[in-house]
Amino acid sequence: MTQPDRPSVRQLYPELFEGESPAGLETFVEKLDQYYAANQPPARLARFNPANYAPVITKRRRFGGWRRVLAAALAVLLLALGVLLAIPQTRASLAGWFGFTIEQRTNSGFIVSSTYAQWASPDAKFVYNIIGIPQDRWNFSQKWPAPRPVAGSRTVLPGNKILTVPSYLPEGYRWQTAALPQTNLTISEPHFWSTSSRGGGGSPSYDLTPVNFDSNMALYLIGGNPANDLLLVSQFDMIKNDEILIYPFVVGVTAPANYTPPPSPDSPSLAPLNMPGYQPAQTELGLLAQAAPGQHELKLEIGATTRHETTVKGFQAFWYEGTWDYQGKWVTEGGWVSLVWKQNDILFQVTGQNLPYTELLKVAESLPER
Amino acid sequence: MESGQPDSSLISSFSPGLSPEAATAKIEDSSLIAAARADPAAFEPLYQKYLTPVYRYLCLRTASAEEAADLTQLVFIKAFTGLTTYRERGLPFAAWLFRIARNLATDAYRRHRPTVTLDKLAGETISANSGDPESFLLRQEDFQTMRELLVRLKPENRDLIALRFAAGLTTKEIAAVTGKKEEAVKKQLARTVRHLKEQYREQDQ
Repeated sequence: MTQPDRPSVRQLYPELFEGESPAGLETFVEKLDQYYAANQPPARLARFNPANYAPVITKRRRFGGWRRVLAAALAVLLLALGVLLAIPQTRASLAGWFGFTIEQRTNSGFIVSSTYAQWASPDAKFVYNIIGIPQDRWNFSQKWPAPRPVAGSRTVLPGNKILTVPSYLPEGYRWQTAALPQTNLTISEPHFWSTSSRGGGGSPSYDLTPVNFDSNMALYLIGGNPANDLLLVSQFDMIKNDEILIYPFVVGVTAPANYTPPPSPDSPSLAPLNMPGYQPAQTELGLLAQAAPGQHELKLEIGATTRHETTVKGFQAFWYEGTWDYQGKWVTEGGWVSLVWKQNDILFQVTGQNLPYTELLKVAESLPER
Repeated sequence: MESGQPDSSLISSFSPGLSPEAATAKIEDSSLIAAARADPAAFEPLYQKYLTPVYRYLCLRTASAEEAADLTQLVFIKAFTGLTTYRERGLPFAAWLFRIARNLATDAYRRHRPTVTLDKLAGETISANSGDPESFLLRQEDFQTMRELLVRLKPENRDLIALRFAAGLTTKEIAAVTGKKEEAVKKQLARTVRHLKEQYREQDQ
């Protein structure tokens, strides 16, 4: 059945005859070939008149010339933008130019708190809350694997706390970490509790009312310079903390080489800095809370010093020199300056060590909106 | 070398891996495409070359000869307008063209699912071509059997057979159209044809 001018089906469909072919396969393939070959296009398809479609084909534009240059420029621009957005600092700066802040959601891995302690005074009328951070924060933060706070950013922390990071930093400073006291961490024994040592101007007076204290009220943003001068932005949540008076303090503690443990655990002692297992050199950020029945909003107590009136972002503020020490004494040595203001149910305190008030004000003014 | 007929052996040496026929077809297609790009009127030879295979293929994918003819026209309009964007890059022109045909047939099938068998066309056109009533009747009977067997095939296998026999594509081109490996296409084709042959023999007895 093979036509004389056509190749055989074995030549036309060699793949069908590979290997051993069953009897009659060639004949069957010929039938199949003829079956399909039977269809012929109708006469109306005999010619194709491209003239009818020429306008369509001439409208197509080649991708070249200035279009190619424009596309290349756009690609470079997008690449540059991608690089800028990939770097946290430039990302925050870019966001700042456009008048918004970048929100970063993070798990607790971002937060650093090297030690933590919270306890009540023996009569349960004071609550202490302390976070210990390395004194040599500059070198420590170089090695710390967690990301550092990004200037100008806004971060949602565990418990939906919002950390805003000022975009301004004094020369030589950088943001090192953030610390969020958490009640589920280890609770230490009181390590500097001493009823006898409290004194000095403005030290807390005793009150017999139990403290209804929100132990998660504080959030610390920690910065510093190579000399380990501290720059601290504290945020205290004012909601549900109306009847509380707080005494923020910063303490540098160093374990003496000749430390000897106290004779008995019951003895009043200032020994925490010397307790085995503590880091030999650390800074403690502390908060003492005292009940203030009838008080309408959270208040921050300072000692005997001059209170200077100012404003931050239009909000009433004040700044002062000095801080509490770990024994509840007000000290003016150490170059501590703080700037305090209230904004949107948050009490902010910017504290610097050996930094002028004007620098603290710049830091405060650059704090992104929450 | 004289102009006119291309020298198959020379072409083969320049295109290792291609059979002389495939290399000739490839070169012919390339030159036809280049000519059509330069002058739309030069699209006609490409049209004439692929008209029958495309039509035959579409006959097997549509419900009527009319629809097959309409779709054939559409395939070439699309090919004609898209010719400037076609880049060979491993996809032969025939495979590109039959991808268009296949997609159009699939779209048409989705638009109005046919209620008549897809393989009814061969017997309709043969009457016009046959002069001998006896041989016509025999072939008609053969085609009827073949038609019944093909309808029973899986659509995927029927498509494969149509691309090979009706469209006349090589296994390599079918692989490019269907996105399969050539070896797999060859095996599937051989298996399907042998299965059809067995069925045909059983029906014949």
